[in-house]
Amino acid sequence: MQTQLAQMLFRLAWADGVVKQSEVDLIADLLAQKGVRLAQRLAWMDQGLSQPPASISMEAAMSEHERLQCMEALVKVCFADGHPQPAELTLLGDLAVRWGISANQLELLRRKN
Amino acid sequence: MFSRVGLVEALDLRNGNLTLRSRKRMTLGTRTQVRVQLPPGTGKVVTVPILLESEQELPGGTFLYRAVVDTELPEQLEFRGDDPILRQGRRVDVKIRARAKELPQFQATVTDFSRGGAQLQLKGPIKQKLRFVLNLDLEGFRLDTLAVPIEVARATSNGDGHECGVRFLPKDAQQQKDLDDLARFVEERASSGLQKLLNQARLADPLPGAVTSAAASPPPSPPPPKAEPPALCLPVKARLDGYSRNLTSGSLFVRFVTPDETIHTLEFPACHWLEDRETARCAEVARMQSEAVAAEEEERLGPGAWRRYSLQAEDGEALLELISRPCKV
Repeated sequence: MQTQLAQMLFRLAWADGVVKQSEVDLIADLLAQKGVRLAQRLAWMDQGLSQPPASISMEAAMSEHERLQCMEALVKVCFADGHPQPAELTLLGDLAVRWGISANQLELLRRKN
Repeated sequence: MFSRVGLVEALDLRNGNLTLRSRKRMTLGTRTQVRVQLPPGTGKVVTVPILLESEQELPGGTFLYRAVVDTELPEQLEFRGDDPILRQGRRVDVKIRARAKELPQFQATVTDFSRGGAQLQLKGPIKQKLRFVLNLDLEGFRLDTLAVPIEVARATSNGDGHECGVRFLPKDAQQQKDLDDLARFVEERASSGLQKLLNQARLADPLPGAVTSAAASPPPSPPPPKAEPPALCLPVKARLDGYSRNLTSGSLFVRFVTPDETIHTLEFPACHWLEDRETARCAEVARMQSEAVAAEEEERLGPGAWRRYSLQAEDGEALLELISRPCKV
């Protein structure tokens, strides 16, 4: 799940074409919270945030609980500065539809931030 | 312009959407102010500016309105109403593809949906009172499809095409529950503030492949010049424990120690250049800066990706700088 979460966070960060420092810091915190060790985190982030990611699979093999955890992290990044970009919201919406997460659940996740 | 009406009854308030019952008729699409008791039963009356979106006439000469609250209300005022009227006849605009296995030519889109029935736009005409099983293709709901028996309650045809209203005839309690769940699901989507944001996002940034009319599309603008991506600044917050070099592979191994005294080793393959500036003075690494090397330098170093790394102290001073292939564990 850590790899998939990282990939999706990178993709979300790149959704609007620019990776902001606040997004980098938040992704680092989130990956650390999910138990990704420092060296792994640095290597992943260096690779994933230095250039827009190639297409990644959105069909992640995750349990429902993991998907919700993943979505919570994505919502955090998306709403980090209070001004989500349209491209980020589109990606979030697409993932929510794919994963069967209702708009209300998304709203609850947003409010948890 | 605001107009004021009297006290109305708040039935539900969630995500900035207010459902209310009023004795007076109000004009849809207008902004107005209503006085409501929030939360209900507390006796506290609040004046709330709203934009009226839909109206439903109720028995007894009252009206049910759904409105968007035109101000920021404290979250603690929100509540989920349990008035039975909220569960009846709430029609939600949707776009659900529908098929019928018994009618091969049948193609339809559900345009609004409630617990009791739905409104369909059709490719061709259909007879009133016809009964068949409607297959709904669902996205995001816990079921991918829902097959429900229906009866065509009314059918109309005009210049715009064909429409019909259908009544659901659930065959058992499970199917009724599925319909209830689906109705709740589409209602929640429709009433969620986030859904509105998502819809706005889609309007502002349509999905790839979304159909747009040629007239509405602006002329394509030339692609922006390709800019060099800015340096990436990755938080480290660890002590530099040391570094060593494998002379055979050329890799540089940098060891960090985190506050919990765990050692983490990062490999910088094919390290081409290294400059130890200040590690003897300060070993606390706050961040690692990473950027692509300049094009001319890349040509000199050889094909493939090369990156310039700088381990920096809290004050931004470079402690260790190097050029290598992208780092790895």
